[in-house]
Amino acid sequence: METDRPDGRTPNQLRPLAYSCSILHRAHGSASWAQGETKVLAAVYGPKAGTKKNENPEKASIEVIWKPKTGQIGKMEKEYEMILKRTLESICIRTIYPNTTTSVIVQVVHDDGALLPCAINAACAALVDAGIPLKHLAVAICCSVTDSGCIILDPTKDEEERSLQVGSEPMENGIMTSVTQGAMSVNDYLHCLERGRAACASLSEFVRKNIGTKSTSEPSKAG
Amino acid sequence: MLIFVISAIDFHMPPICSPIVRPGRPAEASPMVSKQLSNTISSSRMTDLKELSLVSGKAAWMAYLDIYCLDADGALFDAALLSAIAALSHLQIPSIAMNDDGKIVLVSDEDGQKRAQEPVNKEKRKLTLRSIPFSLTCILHKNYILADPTAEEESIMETHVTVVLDTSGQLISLYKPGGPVLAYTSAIQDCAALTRQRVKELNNFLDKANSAMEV
Repeated sequence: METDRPDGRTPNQLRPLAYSCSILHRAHGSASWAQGETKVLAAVYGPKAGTKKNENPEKASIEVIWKPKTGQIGKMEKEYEMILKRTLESICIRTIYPNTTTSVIVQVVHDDGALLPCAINAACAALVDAGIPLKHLAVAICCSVTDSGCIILDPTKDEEERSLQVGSEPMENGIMTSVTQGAMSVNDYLHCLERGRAACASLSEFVRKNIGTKSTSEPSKAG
Repeated sequence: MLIFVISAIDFHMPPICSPIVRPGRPAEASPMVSKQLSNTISSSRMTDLKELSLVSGKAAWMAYLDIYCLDADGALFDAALLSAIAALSHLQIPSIAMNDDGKIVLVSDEDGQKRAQEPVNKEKRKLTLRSIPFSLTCILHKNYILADPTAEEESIMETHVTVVLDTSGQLISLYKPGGPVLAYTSAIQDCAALTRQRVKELNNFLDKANSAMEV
């Protein structure tokens, strides 16, 4: 049962990826990540001295600030901040820099669907660019279930009806973060996981190739 | 005619409920639970929004759902969702009519003169709930799954998974915001099985409570 998508993609096809890093001069690490028309810019500052509120004597704190393209920060932005904060906390080695705070600022440049996975990918690339020690890299993908039950990857804004965003770890393919919207059966969810894992594998190949090229040519600013 | 009906859902955590909540600025968990609640209730399509329409294009009911947490001891979203469902199942919509000026007025049974007006709702009625969502929050730790954690357990272990299923078996939400433990397919299936069991228990509990209240 094939579904015709408006932009001519097959159900398993991602939108074209664009990635660049070290684009901001003042930030310790920065990255821009685009999937189709959706584009997110991420900047990392730190590790720097922690404030009294955020300071932790055992671990480094991570602070995430999410800036939407238009409008004020509402509940959705607060939720995205919290999800991103907990995802980044789980991939960073936080015990190396106690009493410090690392700020991750995420600026939405354009939103055409699958915004949260794009932001996760941009934030992880920015952390790598800043030289923050990480346990592993996280990649994120968005799946959508159509009315006919077909599962499509990387939906646009129009296709986003019942979506599932999975952030997984490339080495072990475990799930770090999962957010769903809409109703689906449990089997559809598990099928989305399988499709998401395959897409994350190709995404991590893309990330590894680009970051590997970058790291040999330029030293890190934080180092 | 497209009908726009907005339901405002807010989850409040006053300082009385927990030592970590300070007066003034809202607690960290409060917008998270609010957004999760809005997402769950809109995703499940528990209520038919056309029921809340009075006159197409002119008037509609707007429901405000405010949830106050009195004691925060873990799994706040589970308690908030259950209280929201119980409140919605207890909701009564009054009977109203539209007078000649086009304004909506409340119809009282005692006033005989107002019978001449055209009734929009003829009598008090309850909302029709279709498939009801229920949730279960679990903590993943190595190879263990802890269901329904307390606040102390939540503060020590950082990987939380919240599964929401409705009474027809559909998955409404699977929420895992990061955390050091990676969730594999077997863990997710175990969490879904635990949630299915809890959906049956809570559905029976809600039916008994509602039938006891109507008597």
